[in-house]
Amino acid sequence: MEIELKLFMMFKKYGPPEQVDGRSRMQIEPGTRFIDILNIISMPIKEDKIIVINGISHKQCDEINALEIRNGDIVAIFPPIAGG
Amino acid sequence: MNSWPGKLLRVDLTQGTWAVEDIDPQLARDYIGGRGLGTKILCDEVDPTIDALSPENKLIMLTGPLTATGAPASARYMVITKSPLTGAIASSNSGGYFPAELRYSGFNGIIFEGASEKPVALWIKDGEVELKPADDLWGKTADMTEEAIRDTIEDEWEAKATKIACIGPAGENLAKLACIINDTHRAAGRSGIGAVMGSKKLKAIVVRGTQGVQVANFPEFKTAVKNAMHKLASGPVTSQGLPTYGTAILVNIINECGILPTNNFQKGTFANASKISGESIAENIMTRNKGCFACSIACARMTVIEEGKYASQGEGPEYETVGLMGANCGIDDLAPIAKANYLCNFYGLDAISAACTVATAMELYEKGYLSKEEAGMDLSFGNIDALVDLIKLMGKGEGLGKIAMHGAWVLADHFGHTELSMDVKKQEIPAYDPRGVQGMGLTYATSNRGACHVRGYTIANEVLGVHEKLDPLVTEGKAATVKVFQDLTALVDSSGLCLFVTLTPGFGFDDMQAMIKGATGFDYTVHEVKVAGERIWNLEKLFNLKAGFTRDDDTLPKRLLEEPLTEGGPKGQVCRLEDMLPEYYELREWDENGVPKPELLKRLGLQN
Repeated sequence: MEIELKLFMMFKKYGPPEQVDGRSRMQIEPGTRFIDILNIISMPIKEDKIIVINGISHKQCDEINALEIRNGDIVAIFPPIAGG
Repeated sequence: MNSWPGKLLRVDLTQGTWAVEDIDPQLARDYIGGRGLGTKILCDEVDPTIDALSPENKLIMLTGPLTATGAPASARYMVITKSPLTGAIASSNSGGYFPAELRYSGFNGIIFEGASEKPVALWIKDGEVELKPADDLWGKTADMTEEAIRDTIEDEWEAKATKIACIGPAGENLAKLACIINDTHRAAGRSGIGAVMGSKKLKAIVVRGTQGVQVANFPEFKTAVKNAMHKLASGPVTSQGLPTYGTAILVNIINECGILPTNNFQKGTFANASKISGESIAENIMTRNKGCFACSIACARMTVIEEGKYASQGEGPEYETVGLMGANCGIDDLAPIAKANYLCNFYGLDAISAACTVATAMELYEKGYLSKEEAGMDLSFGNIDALVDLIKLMGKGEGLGKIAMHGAWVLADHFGHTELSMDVKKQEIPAYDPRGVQGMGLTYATSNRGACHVRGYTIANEVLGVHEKLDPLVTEGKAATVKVFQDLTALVDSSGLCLFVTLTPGFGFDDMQAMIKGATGFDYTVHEVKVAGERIWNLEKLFNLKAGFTRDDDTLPKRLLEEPLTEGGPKGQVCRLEDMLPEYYELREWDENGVPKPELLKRLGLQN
């Protein structure tokens, strides 16, 4: 299965070497959950983040950690931000 | 001796005279200051049905009890008047350094009445007031006005320490999109307040003060401020995100969520959003960040376009500007966006409204309702020259700018297609598409000053989960969220603090109460300041009702109610305003026409 991973700002440091501007394609096994993605890229689970999956935003919680990621999903991870 | 409520300067521009008044302590207590107190004065003294550009309108400038005290982000003042753009109440907010200096000069506010026959500037220095002729300043851009004024001050240090608020040519031309600029690149932006200033032939306010500001109970105030500062310093948004990347930090996430207005709200995703993001600004055009008075957040950007056709420098652009001059005009190049942004500040135009008006012009052009001959240029989406050239024309009041300077609705109406103007109550909609974030649709529709994102900024919870995370695509519960945000914002706007203090987890009514109590000496409870916010919101609503606004005006453009977004997370969604508005009226204790009920008015002390 393949997904698109987008990492923003200081989270780019967790991305694979081949990423372009924080974007990369990732091969994953069926049944992979969001929390597994974090472990694959060695990103701390507890670090504050905003997660946008297929264009819908979420704050990290048990439900999101357990969410099964599917083929073709776009997973974007942002640090906590706000503006005006 | 406590500096609040302090003194108000009342200037009669028709007579060329002024008087000093003590601010009524009871009014100060009930309406906090700034937006609240200014609204109360406007409602007491101005008939809501008058022509906004007539001498009968008043221009009220008010700081709050926390302005200039050194509380976090305590830089703000409000300008309250009747809007020539919407016909509703206008209250525009600005930071920088002018507001603090005004308090230091001995006045917590100024009321301008009548109109001068010839251009004048008001000078204040430590309580000494003078109205000077300003014929030599009339016609100058805002930055050149400041320079010319400082040139007349002999001592270089004094010249630098003097702070100035002024209008540019747009205000002089009575453009409905005209704003009031202070400190060269800060704007009390929305609702055409610059045109009111222009109609009074008031070019500038020049202030210098060394009097300082005293708070009522320093130890109590100090503790409250320390607690608030700790929250700001430990919250990632206010301590890292905003200082590093500014408000345009939002571009990528808003685009990722499919709600970045693109091509005049025809779409919600923009392919090259990252090129105009806060990260791109930091990397490519920013020299350093900058803060307002007493602000640790320092979200402003000092920027420069080094070379090319649009070589220039200044401050900004902000999120709204890159969203609306960028994606909403189909433009992905920071150079023309930065240039057009600086031009808005020089000419004294509201960047949000001006940008939306350009996008409206581009769609009129795209659909063949506005010809190349009439436009005087190729107004295709994505044409960077068109953005800069049209903004220039709007600033000068020339060519197509003569109509466009009055906003998207006036422009669209002139060419027979108001359905292409994305506005509420004729004020242009900011850079969040409400079809993908339902609560913002309710915020836009019910905002007392017309479409506004800051007075009920539910993005904080619907998209960013700052305090709690809500689902942006559902309407359930949004009425309650919008009401709380609106009331809290009314309180913050009345206190003199910047709204961004609310963007840190855990900051709320209790922090506001502690600081305001310490500063004023009024023994406010948390409940009392909460009610004050509600009172202020309802007083604004009463003004609008008397001005002729009805439930029909609490709506959104047809496009956002009926045409679904076609891509991204919110694909297939429209804004379901009617699922939220009745509940909102109920929670507000208004009847089904949006009229506050008698019991509510009595409880708030607004019965008449």
